[in-house]
Amino acid sequence: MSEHISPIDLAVVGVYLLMMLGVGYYIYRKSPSFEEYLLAGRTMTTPILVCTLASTYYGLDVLFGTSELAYNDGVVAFFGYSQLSLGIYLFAAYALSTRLRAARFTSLPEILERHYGLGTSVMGAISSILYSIPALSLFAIGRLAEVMFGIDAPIGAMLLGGIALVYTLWGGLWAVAITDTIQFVLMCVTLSIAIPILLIELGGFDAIALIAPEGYFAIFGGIPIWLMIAYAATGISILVDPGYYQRIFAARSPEQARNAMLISVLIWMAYDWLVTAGGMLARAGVASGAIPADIHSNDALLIAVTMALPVGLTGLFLAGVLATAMSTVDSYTLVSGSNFAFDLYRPLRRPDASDKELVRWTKYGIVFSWVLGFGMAFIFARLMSLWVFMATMLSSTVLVPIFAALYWKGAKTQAAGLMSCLAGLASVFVYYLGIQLLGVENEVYGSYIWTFSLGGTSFSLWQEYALFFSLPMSFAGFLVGNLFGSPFTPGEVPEANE
Amino acid sequence: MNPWDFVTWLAAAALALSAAGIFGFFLRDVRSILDREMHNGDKQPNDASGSDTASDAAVGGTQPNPPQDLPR
Repeated sequence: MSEHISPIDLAVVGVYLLMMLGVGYYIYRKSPSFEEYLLAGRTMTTPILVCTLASTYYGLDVLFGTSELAYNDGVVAFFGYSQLSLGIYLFAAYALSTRLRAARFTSLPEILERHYGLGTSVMGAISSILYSIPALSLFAIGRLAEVMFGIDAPIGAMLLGGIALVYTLWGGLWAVAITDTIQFVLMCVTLSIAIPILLIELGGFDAIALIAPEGYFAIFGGIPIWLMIAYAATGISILVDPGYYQRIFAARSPEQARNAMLISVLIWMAYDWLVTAGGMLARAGVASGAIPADIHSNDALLIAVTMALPVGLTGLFLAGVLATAMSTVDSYTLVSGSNFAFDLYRPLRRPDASDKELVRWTKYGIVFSWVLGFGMAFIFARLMSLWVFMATMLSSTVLVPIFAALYWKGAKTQAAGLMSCLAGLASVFVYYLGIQLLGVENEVYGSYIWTFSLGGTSFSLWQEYALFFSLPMSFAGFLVGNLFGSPFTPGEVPEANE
Repeated sequence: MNPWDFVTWLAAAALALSAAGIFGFFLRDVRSILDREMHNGDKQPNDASGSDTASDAAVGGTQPNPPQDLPR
């Protein structure tokens, strides 16, 4: 266990974990109906939506990933990586949130079901389930348990991730949202106390400037322009993120959904900058000898903060870090569960399924997703790459048909939905396979890159560019399917097995 | 003060105040939300009485909501 963690800090973490279980049990005793369980009865107000959006979408990958980038490369972690997706978030707030909420959908695949029929919806549901598997978050929880509490990573993930599983099973979205709110406050308050303390103790940015390597304060660093566009494009995933959709559907009104997204964007900006500053300050701490030199850059922020904070606040910060991961685990297992019950079980097996049955099958899906995530967390070596692949696959499969469903005013066919999904999915697989066969692995970026010459000019294709190919392919599939397929009547009862 | 230090203090203050403010509004809302939820939780599954939503009222369980025109 880290020497900077006292029994008081551990007690604070223990109280936090008990509170999470308490909230779940409180909701469980009220036996919520399916719509209450899945969408909190569509009564979420702006403050709760902000908390649940902000804490769900920001996991440990942001806390550790962005701080590691800042530690190594400086302010580009904020300007070059985190903020390039801002335009996409604003679009999500103004154009998407209100439209989604006004149409009263229940899940992302249901949009596909209503506009293209069952086949496309099933593909969307499977993509959504795969994307929502909480492998990365459970791995991060395990690693955190190992570094901070000295518990073996799989056991730590099982214990702490298990608590997130239990309260999600008990209370559904209400439990997730209320625990997210507590987690949001912990995340924000502890970070906004810890970073100023680090700023004072380590000499602020003047101290960073003394040890900064060249380009450390360059806004966009030395990132290749296409890679920068590719990073910005990762923000596209929010446009089809099933967790984001679930929260928008759960909003009390379209306006509350929009306002919550706008406020969340401002909060994410402040959070991103503090994490960036924390990573840079940790580097100054290492250079001055205040922080051990043998730490991994990934752990720099965590170690710096636990050294800087007083007893009690360290416990709160650790609870906040745990909260960051748990809020992601609970939300995405719930999404998986709902896809399992509402988008697969209901249309394929029991079109007349009762509320009680759907809640039960959602719970089966939650457990299935958690167990799969736990297994994957400790089998796959490169989880981040796996998650990027899953996110690319989801965007490539459903982005075009979803946006066509929401914004395309002309007739749509079943074939358009299916061909769009299939073309997007196939092109991602072909692209990834091609780049891995033809390219070379780059250890620094953790990616495959294929460099080739054309007309005397050298080009580099990165694995991260997959969306540049798959989205046009998906769109082409939609156009071709729409040209040759027969029109699908919106709201037509989808075929289902009796 | 170094401008980057200033930005960091500003971000810390903004984040802390936002969190505190939003939590205050959450506390204001949560009581009525939970009271309402308790009301809904008392009903039997598939009992559409007292429901204020389209999908609650679906006959025979929760079905896809009836098609509605998207806002243009």
